[in-house]
Amino acid sequence: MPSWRHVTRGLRSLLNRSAADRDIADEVEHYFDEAAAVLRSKGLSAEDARRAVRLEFGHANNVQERVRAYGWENVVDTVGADLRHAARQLSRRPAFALAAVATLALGIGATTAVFSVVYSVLIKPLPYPNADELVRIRHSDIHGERSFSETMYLTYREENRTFASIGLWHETAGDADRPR
Amino acid sequence: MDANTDVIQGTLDMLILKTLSLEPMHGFGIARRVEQISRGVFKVNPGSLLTALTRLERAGWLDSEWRETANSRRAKYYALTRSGKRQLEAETADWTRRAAAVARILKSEA
Repeated sequence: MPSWRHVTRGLRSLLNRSAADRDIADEVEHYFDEAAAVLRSKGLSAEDARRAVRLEFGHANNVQERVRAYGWENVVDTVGADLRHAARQLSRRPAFALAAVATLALGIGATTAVFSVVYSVLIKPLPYPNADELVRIRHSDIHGERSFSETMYLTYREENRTFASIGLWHETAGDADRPR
Repeated sequence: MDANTDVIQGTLDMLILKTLSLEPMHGFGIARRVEQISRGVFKVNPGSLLTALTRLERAGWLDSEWRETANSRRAKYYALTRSGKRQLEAETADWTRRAAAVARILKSEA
């Protein structure tokens, strides 16, 4: 179960990294000193005790780094550092940066243009109420689509038991949005 | 076989909670107690221990407090919270169940 402390402690060390780092350094140092003190009480010299502790636990800095690496706030830190690094690298090579931005702009622009056409032609609902209930009646047989005569339309309209109503439109050049 | 082994994977949290159920302690105190009570079988690595302490504190199972030590140094002391105590009971019960199951398997005639 995640606790609110994950949030508050993480924020605290994010907002005051140096204090958090100092706490970790103090804690590790205290740990190492206590370990050395135990060895000294067994008769080792101060120098030998320190060396033995270092041999056993590795360098204090490594231990600090390991403890410091815990927590979600380090992800924020790392991502921030990556972004700063990227910005520096790009500003150092403006020609490359420009080429990258232009490539992105062209790519995004072309995709948007194609999508807006596809959307208005294929996806956008027709401008009528309950547009999703509209269907188009076609006549076809094995030879393909057949034309639809006006008398056929009248017959369909009289015999209709399936649709709420049936209408007819005629394709002409001009405004295709208006029913005719 | 090496007499000192690392703490069994996944049991460090339980050992920390158990050790702190006696009294509040600082990091090295916990490591030393675990080594002593296990008669040197388990060796605790400071990197793992201090990270685990941070994790357990954030989980709300431990509270920590900086205290002045006898030689006027500051040391971070950890204490078990009430929910830490409940967690210890749950983990102990779970561990006992698993250990008994493993023991039954190892003792069974193949």
